[in-house]
Amino acid sequence: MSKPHKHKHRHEINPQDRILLMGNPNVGKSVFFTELTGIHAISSNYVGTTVSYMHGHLPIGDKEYTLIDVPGTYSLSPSSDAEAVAVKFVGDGAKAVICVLDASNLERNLALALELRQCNIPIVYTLNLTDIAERRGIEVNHKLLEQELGAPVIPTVAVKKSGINELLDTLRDMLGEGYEASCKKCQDCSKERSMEQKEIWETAKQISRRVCKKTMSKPGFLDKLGENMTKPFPGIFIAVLVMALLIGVVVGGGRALRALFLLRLFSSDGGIVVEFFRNLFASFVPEGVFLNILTGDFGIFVISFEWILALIFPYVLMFYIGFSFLEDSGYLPRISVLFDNIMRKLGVQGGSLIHTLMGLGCAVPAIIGSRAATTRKERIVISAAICFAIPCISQTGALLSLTAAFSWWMMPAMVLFGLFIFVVVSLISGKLVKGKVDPLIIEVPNLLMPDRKAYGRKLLIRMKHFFKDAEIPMMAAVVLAALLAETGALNVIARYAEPLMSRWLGMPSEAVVALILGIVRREMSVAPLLALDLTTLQAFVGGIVSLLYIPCLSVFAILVKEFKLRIAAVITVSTIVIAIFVGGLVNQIAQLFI
Amino acid sequence: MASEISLHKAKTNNIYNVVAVPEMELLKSLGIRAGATLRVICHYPLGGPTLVCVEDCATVAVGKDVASLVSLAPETGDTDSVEDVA
Repeated sequence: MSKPHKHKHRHEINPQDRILLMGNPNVGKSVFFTELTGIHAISSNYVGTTVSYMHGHLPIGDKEYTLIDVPGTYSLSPSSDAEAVAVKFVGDGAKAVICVLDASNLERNLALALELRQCNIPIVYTLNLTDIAERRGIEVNHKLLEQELGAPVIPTVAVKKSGINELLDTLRDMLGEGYEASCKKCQDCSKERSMEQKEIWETAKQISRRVCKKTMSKPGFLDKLGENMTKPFPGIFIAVLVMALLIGVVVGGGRALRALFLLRLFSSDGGIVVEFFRNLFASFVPEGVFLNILTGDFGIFVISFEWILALIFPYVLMFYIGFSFLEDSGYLPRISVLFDNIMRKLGVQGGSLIHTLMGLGCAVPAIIGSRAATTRKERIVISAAICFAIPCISQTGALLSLTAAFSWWMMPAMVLFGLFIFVVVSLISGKLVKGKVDPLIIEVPNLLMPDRKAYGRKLLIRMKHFFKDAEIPMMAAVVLAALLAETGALNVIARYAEPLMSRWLGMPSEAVVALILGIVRREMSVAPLLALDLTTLQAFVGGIVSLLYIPCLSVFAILVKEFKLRIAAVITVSTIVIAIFVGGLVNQIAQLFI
Repeated sequence: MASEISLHKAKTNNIYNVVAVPEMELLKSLGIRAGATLRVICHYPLGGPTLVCVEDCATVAVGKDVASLVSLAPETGDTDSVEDVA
């Protein structure tokens, strides 16, 4: 097993040292990658989980290779940015390919297998998801398939680690035989390939008929549930129920965690850990500005615990518990099909709903995940809508904490407001961005009960990412907040910001700290408001401004990477201007009735 | 062929042979290509997609605009006269 190493560019890895992990989307490639390299790759039960590539060390015999988890592709004629990455890898050549086949849908998978075979790269095939195939009454004669493909075929159930050792043994034998990787047909030969396409499909069909034996099997509970979840009736009712359940898990579970454990430990008002640090520093640091920076009301050792661990962490944890389950079960594509008609009216297709829901966790993977979209216009429209109207889960946690102290209607009102903005932004950006949006064409995967180990591992990765990726910017924001508040600098800035904060937005002028910290992290545009003595209207306006406010630095960076600086700048500046304009408008209108 | 019908208007739960499909790589890669057999599972209201089971194997949703361009004929077992629409 290897340790993860830094991301290298595709061209930095010698083709003779790399082994490509390829296959159709959603056949379990990332699970193989995790099992073979020890690097935890996020895997889910829907098309487009891997839209970029990961790589890790794979020792075979006395040599170390680089295993590359290539985005899933249906063929070597790409139909999205993600598929284009896969085709480029094949074009660059490799020492060997591990081609993952879905045993429950062999014919379509064989089409890619046959295309890859033309590339003259040694291939070992894995016949994965054999358990699903059995559930559906499909039996595959893998020995016969081996003869048909002229290469080894290993039956596997990757999530249960079944067949992994056999795969490694086969790779060792194969790479020891002096194969040379030489791709001569795949570069600049799309014309030739398209001429052969019909023949490939026909061959795949014939092979599939010869090697597969299908017996009549009664649909199981999950099959029936999966079908019902997909049909308009009762699918839409089930979708509403599932979403309500997810909200219940996040809000209810998050609040319970806070009340039972986290506030007792990390509250600024007598939390055990916070009090420990207060007493510790008070014992050797003299009273004054420095002690205040450490343990004052806005002290680093107070708000870093309260904001990050008591305020945000419980909601992040509960969200990923619910969302990861939905991802692994294969439910998300069903939602995108059910609501495609509504999404089309907003100018995007139903598949974008998956990225929108991902944005509820974090906008960064959501924007990267939109690479699975087939047109650039769709990517820009959905990314803009996510930046404007979809709060990340950290921000949602902070908003929940803010609104909990006021009226019950505040959070639902904010959700409705967010939906309204989502619709408006989608419609306007759909008009402004040139290009087209392709109609929905999506495969609906089998409904599965998530594998316990894979699910637990994924949850662990996500929480590690939360602490690792968010730690530095959150701590930077905490230190900045402590310095601003405890040195008196905040009072000076607040004086200058008074016309905007107090007269237009109706907020206390010290709330300007939320706008400053919000640039670093989205939730930090809410957290400082909790320490202020706000009225109900001020809390609502503050929440609205935060919801619409600038995407955090990480999101800005990913926007630049994916769409260039101009589009990133347009989205970012628009969010700032519109957040302050709309927040002020809400305040001014409300003032007329108060 | 007189009995040809578009996928968008095909009857639910009926089995059809695909006669012609628009020139879309993704559609063909998912198995919806001339000569394939599919069962229509359901149509979604308000201009939503059509859900089909391809070759008794994969479940695929096809947006209305594309479904309107996919020509089908009732399943007969004869799949010789098939063509691609440019």
